[in-house]
Amino acid sequence: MAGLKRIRRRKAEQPPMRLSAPVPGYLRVALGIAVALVFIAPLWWVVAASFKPQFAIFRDASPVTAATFLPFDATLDNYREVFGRLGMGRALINSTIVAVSQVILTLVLCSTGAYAFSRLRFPGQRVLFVIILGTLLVPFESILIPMYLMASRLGLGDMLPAVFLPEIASAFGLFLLRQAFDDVPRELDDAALVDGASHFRVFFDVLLPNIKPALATLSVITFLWSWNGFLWPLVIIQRPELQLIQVALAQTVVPGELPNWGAILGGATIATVPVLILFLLLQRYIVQGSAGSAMKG
Amino acid sequence: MSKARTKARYSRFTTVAGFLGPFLVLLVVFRLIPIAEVALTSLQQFNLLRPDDRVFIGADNFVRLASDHRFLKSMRVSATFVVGMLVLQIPLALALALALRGSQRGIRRIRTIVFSPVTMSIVVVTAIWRLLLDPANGIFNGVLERLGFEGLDFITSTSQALPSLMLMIIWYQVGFTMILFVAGLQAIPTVYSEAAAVDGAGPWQRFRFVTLPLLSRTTVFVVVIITIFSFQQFAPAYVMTRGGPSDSTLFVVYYLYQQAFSFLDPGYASAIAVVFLATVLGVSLLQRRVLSEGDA
Repeated sequence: MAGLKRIRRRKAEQPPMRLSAPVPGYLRVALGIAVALVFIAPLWWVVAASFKPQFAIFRDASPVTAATFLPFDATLDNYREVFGRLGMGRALINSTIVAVSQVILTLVLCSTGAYAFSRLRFPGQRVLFVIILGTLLVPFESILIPMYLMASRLGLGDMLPAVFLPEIASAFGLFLLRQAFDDVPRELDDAALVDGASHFRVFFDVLLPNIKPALATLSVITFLWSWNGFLWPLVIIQRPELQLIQVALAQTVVPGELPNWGAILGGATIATVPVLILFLLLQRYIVQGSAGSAMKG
Repeated sequence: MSKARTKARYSRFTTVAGFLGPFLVLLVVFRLIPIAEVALTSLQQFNLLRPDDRVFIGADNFVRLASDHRFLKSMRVSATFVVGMLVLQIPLALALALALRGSQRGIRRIRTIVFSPVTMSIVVVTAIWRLLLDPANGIFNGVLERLGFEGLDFITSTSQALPSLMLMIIWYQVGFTMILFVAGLQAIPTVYSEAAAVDGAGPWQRFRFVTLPLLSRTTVFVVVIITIFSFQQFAPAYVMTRGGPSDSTLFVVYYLYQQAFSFLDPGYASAIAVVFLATVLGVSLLQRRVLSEGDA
């Protein structure tokens, strides 16, 4: 059985390149490496240069040589400034608190809500679902001001929950998990219901274990969104000790002034390394999520 | 009997409320009410610091918008940016997807690398590119000088600032767009291309008359989503250019932010938001209609 599956898969994977590749092999390899360099060289430079003192960053930048991408004269001065004077350690902790809370609460709210749409019947269900999906069409920026007024009205201004509470009722998440629930055969929960299990039991013991991949996808994407969010935390958090990492990093760049190279390079590195590691470990789920969003569009 | 039915109905209601209630409450409070409220605040005048002191002024904010040359400029900047993204990014992403759609390990690895900037925040990307584009010490001019050209001014020039930001956002997003196309390409059965090849169609003909039409669902989605993303641009202006030099990168969302949080005029900013929302919805609706008709 498994052997047959493997054969079939190999067969399905092979043909496309044969057909549409009028370019000779060695040229394609060279092009591939060039493309990869365009995307990886800037990141490589950022990390390497973040360990250099300012004079060495400038000396190695122009003209570009191998030294541009290698941290000779290595020093931790930039990181001392980033964690010391600029207090970005605190910002990293705040961003972690916000992102983790947001992931957990999004999972709870979206999975329970999706269960209601997938397994329960109630009046107005279809209209409500269309309204929820409709909110996806409204760019967040267009309701920035009433959101700000609402958060202040509720007394959330200048508190970390103000950053994630408005985001956790995610229409995208509800939609994703509803699809996943719909794919689980109903016989499974019908059997449990007949045996006298409550809806909560069915939800928790029968359905949730069956949609783990979708839950993983939603977790990873929510974490990325939360960690990388900028405009909302910028307007809703003012106290410096509650600042998130993206806002803290944005403040190291002051338009019209000469940039503080060490702070930008060190700050960009520490703001990116956690998500880059997450991405490399869990890229399956991220790519699945973004490709999935296309199929449903 | 009827008592039992009432009871059953009540228990069904508590089940639904228990599962859906929390989601719904937050959605109403933080999405539906704000959507309704922005229409209201666009007709009011008040100071952001005294939100209870509002005056109803009818359509005055919208009348003011019509003759605000900075607002009109911001709409032009955003529209230029959207068109630039569509014209430059989509063909590039499609070309990358065609070249990198295979499933060999090396190709998958290059795809991962091209996609990796997507996981970074726009703030990180903008901060990094601020240094790459630095006229005096940046890598870009380092490369140009190495090749014997003169360095460029990039973000300090009114004519080069917006194209520089376009280049940056293409670098940032093209991996995402490419993945969408790869998924679309992989969903097309190869038999069609094979049949066309048997009939003597060359690679270009197969692409133009077989692959491209079959890819149209993905293409429509990509066009709509790139348009929305590009209209929403804010951070590059805030972090790198503050909308300058001389408003050449004044994205409409940045102008909205400026009116609300720098000039503390949220009523006027709400009017901008309403026009912005109507534009985004209108354009994406139009794109869906026109583009889906094309392949029928």
